Amino acid sequence: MTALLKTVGYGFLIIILSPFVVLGLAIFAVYAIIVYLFLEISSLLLFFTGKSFKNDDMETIKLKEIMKKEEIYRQNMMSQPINTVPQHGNNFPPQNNNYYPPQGTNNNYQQQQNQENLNQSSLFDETKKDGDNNE
Amino acid sequence: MNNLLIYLPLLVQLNEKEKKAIGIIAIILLGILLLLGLIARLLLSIKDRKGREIDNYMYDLVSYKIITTPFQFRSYVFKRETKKLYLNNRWALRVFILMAIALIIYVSTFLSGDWNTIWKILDDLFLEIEWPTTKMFGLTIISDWPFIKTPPVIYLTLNGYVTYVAFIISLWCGLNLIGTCFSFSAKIDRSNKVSSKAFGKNLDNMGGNNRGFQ
Repeated sequence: MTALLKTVGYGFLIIILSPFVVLGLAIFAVYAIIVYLFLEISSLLLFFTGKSFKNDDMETIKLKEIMKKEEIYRQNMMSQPINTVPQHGNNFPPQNNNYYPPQGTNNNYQQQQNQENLNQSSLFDETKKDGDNNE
Repeated sequence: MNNLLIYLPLLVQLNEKEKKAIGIIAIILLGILLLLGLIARLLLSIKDRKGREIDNYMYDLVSYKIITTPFQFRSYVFKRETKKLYLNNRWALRVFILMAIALIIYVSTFLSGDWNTIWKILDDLFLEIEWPTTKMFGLTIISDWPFIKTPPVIYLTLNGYVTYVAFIISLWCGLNLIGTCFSFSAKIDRSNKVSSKAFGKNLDNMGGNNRGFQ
């Protein structure tokens, strides 16, 4: 019922406002015709000077440039290899994944590496021992 | 107020037929208002949909901070939509101008500049209807369905064809112009409404409740 009354209210409103709506549309129509005449002549002039009217405006060009840069940045991020060097300790530089620290310069890295090697060798020894026993 | 009170005894003394007539008139008026209301609602929804078309290109421009002020926002929309207005209207107006030139040449050459022939053909294209009326409470009001006074006449001659083609082209051009102007006004209206909201600090959008332009 409320929706029906609201619709009837809109009907009243359109009766009252219709002259203003028609006036507004007429003003826009006159504006459209003036714009047409002006831009038709300017597009003709542009055509003979070898330019196009449909070229992007400055803001769109700027936007396209930014989006292109963003796309390139994203592609670079995607194409980078996965971090192959495990991150050890706080001193290990995490900024660049392609950075391989020279051996012997980072004490923490070397210590942990040695510890890992030690663990691996002990594991190897154990398996070897098992193997030996089996033999 | 005293003038209105004069009619009060009249309302009391109404017979059944007159009461029925008043009821029918009230229902017809309500129906007309309802129909107009539905048309208004439809136009408003179309306006809203057309206005939202600016969001497609303005969202990126605002989010990448290429446009930073409400004034820039409005002026950019106006500039871009003016260009679009030209692009949407150009072929209709070109055809209309060519048609008008051709019609002027035709009338001045074959009809010796007699435009009355063209206007008569156009006038006869539409049927003429007459509404039967009756006097009630001192007012002349419609009492029955209308009847056709003069039926439409179609001229299958060269003058007729030229007139009909010119009329159809003018109608198409006019409708196209009204449609594009309506769309243009809807977009300008939306840009005026949204421009301040797009850059204003709104606490409603804090805490991840970003609902975009409302």
